[in-house]
Amino acid sequence: MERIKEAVDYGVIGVLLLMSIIALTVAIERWMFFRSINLSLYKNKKVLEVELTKHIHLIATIGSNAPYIGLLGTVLGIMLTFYDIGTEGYADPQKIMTGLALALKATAAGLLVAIPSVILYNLLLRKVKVLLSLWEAEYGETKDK
Amino acid sequence: MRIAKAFVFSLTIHGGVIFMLTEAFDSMKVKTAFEDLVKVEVSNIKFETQEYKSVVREEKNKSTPKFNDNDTKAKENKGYRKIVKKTEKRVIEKENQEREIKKTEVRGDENELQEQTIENDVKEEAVGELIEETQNEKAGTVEDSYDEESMLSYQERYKREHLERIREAVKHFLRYPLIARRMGWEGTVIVCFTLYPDGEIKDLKVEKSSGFEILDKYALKAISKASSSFPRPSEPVTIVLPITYRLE
Repeated sequence: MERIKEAVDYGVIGVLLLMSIIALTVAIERWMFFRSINLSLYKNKKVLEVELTKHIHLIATIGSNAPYIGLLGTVLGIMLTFYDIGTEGYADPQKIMTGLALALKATAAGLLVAIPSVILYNLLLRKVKVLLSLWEAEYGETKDK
Repeated sequence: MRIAKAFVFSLTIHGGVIFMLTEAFDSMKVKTAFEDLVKVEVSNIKFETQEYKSVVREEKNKSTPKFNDNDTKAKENKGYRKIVKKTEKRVIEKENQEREIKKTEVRGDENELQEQTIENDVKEEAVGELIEETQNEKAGTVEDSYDEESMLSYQERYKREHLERIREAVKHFLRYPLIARRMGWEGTVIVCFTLYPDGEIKDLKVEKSSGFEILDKYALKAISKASSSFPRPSEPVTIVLPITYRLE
């Protein structure tokens, strides 16, 4: 039982950590790309859009799913705590409370991953829109003609 | 290329954030969990005297009905029983009941304290009579036992009333030494001291070491600091105090 608990705990936190690292990596990579991009190289707006929004969906996915994974960890933690109490037959308040508190930490971690991811996603989307508009303003009409 | 660079950035940022979070959490944990970390317990005061008391009480209960049945039976018992104090008790009981038989019959199992005080009063008179009679040497032992018992009952009373305050006072001054916390040293140190009516503490010593000198030292320090806020007894009281250092 102890091992399952640990596996759940470290598993959920590990997954969240991995998601967070991926999200931040993508965000930084995109940021660097946006800064170094040369808009004059692109002939087509659609191609430019595809190029700009590459990998951005990952951040959106992570931002929307991290809370769920955190909740999953909490639910599993509470489940295991209750299972422990059930098998022991008596309720030790100290044990219950520490079990529940540790279970809730998974939700906290999930939110901690989700919030920055959503913020980064919005920033990047805005940046994409700005770049697209700039391209359109500068080259759109001439290229179309 | 760009993605590798970004990955490295991301990793370093994560490392920094996690490090900061764990540091903050650790410090928070130490602060909030301090109450749980250090556990103080006040245990029984003296084992021998307590045992003796129980014996006496037992004897009292036994002798009362016996006496009502037969006067000589108790005397026979006294003959072959080896323990002087016990038999002494019985003699006193007898003396006592010769005067107030009805009274003793009634108080078979009342509440202890009341019984004890009445018992003590009567006993003193009984002792006086005993001295007048031929049993001089035995009377001495009776007086001894009486003294011991009254002191014990005082200690008991003191303990019952002020145990919580002593515990709180010691707990307030108790610190978990940082190095012990870092090294994960735990243990129980049993400290023994005598509290005098003027609030002074004497014979402060470690009865059983926790195995780590610094834990013992901190426990002694905490008690000598806390001693000023101990409730003052009217008689010297010996207190045995186990202090448990425990890391969660």
